[in-house]
Amino acid sequence: MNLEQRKQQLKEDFAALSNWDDRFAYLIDLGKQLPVFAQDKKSDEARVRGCQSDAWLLVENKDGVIEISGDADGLITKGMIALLVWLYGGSKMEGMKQEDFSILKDIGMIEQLSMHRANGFTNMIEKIKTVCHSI
Amino acid sequence: MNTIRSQFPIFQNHPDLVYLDSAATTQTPQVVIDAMNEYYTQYRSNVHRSVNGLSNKATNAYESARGKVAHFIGAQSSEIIFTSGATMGLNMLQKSLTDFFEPGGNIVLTRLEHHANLIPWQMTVKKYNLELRFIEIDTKTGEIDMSSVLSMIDEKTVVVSMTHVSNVLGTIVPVKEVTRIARGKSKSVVIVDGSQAVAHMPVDVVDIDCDFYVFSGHKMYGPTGIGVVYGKTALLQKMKPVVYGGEMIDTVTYGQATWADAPYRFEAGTPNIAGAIGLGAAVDFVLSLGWNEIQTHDVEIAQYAIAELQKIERVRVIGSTQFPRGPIISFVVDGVHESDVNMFLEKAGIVVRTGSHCAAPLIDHLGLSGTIRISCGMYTTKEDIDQCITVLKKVVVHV
Repeated sequence: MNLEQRKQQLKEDFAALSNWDDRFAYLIDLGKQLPVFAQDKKSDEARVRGCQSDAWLLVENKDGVIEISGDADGLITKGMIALLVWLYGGSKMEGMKQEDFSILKDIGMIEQLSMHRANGFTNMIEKIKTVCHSI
Repeated sequence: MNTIRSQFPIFQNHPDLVYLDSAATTQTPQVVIDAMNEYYTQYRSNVHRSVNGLSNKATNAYESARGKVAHFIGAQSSEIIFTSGATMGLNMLQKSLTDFFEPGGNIVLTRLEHHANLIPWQMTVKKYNLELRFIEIDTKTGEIDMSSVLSMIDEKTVVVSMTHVSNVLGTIVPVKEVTRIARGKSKSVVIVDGSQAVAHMPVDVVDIDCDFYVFSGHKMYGPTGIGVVYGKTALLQKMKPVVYGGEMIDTVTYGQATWADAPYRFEAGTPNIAGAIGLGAAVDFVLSLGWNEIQTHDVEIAQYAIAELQKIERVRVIGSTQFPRGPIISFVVDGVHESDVNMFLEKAGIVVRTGSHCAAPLIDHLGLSGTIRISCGMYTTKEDIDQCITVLKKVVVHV
């Protein structure tokens, strides 16, 4: 699946989940599939500010391809990371420069998932944007 | 209870709101909004300055609020300083009391303290070469270990500063007893942080015999941005101001200044006039409900919440389940991160607080990463608790 196909898939998945209890369950399942994030990678630099639970996200440029990894103590937060990894991980950096992340609004993830003091999910997206725009 | 709830416009604007975060800030009754509105629309003017009808009225209302607050905690008006809140009050004391700190002395706090009653003293001990000590608690019940009070306070103790009610566990600290011990063993200044107490129990500072009692207006149905420091007159007169400016002076020349008497020397600049007037109205509101009704309601709701929480598998109430205690109930769901619980509650329109509640060292001390906290006000109903419980039952199935 390419990025557009994955977006379509995500829209369909979320449309099928009629309430937030089910969406949370979906995210929790997604989080369980997230590859193990080594303890020594949990640096201050990787830490995501504004989350209710401790969370880490690493966004790297691997030969023009975006590589995303991370972890969180909270299962739903971990699921949000897994969603970003699945959706954007492996995409071409050049293409990501034009990405507007509106899919996350479309499925209700940005507006709906408010987090205390600052929005952790928004900060995760900012991390991805920063790396994509640095090339 | 419904008559009380109907006095809070937020519940008319959000009929489905389940607000279980009163320890963070209480909702505001119409009478408090009206009092502030009246100031802004009828007699807005500065206080203590011009001599005219408006200013006289504003000054009278401001000073009348000071009198109400004084009466509320058994103090004299001249012993009441308006601040922006308890945090500012504690920081003001930390800065103003420096002449009382003798090198080699110690400052005694409890393990329960909010960051606002911890960090200022951390700064103090570093700067003045003092030792910071903590009165131990029973980690199961959250209650103060009285033998630790006896061992921590000694003749070198310069400050004892303690919360009246824990903002995490609802534990009531026996502040009168601790003050009595402090008086017997030291010449320390005794400070009580009453932020979580004033809306829930009658407070008499003379009976407690503390030197200072600090609280915020917004946790007792008053506005944000206003708080109180009560201080014994003899001490206030010896203390130096920490903020300089208008209205806090007696005489000023280009070279020097002398200070006004307390409380004015601690209220430099134009104060939060509307806030103080609103706080006065909040005092009237609380007293009009009556302590009997308030305490009966608090116990009923807290008992109900604890009992319902304990029925859910994997839910563990942190702290004492025995009364007396404040209507602040912390709990964890074993195996579920508190952020996950909060997201489910948030989606259901239920407002609680999760995390370390500005008391991170206490949470660490209890061996937790955080808790979910329910805290109640006079508008809290059993139906609010029921809605929270329904979501929690779902959480333990889903996660």
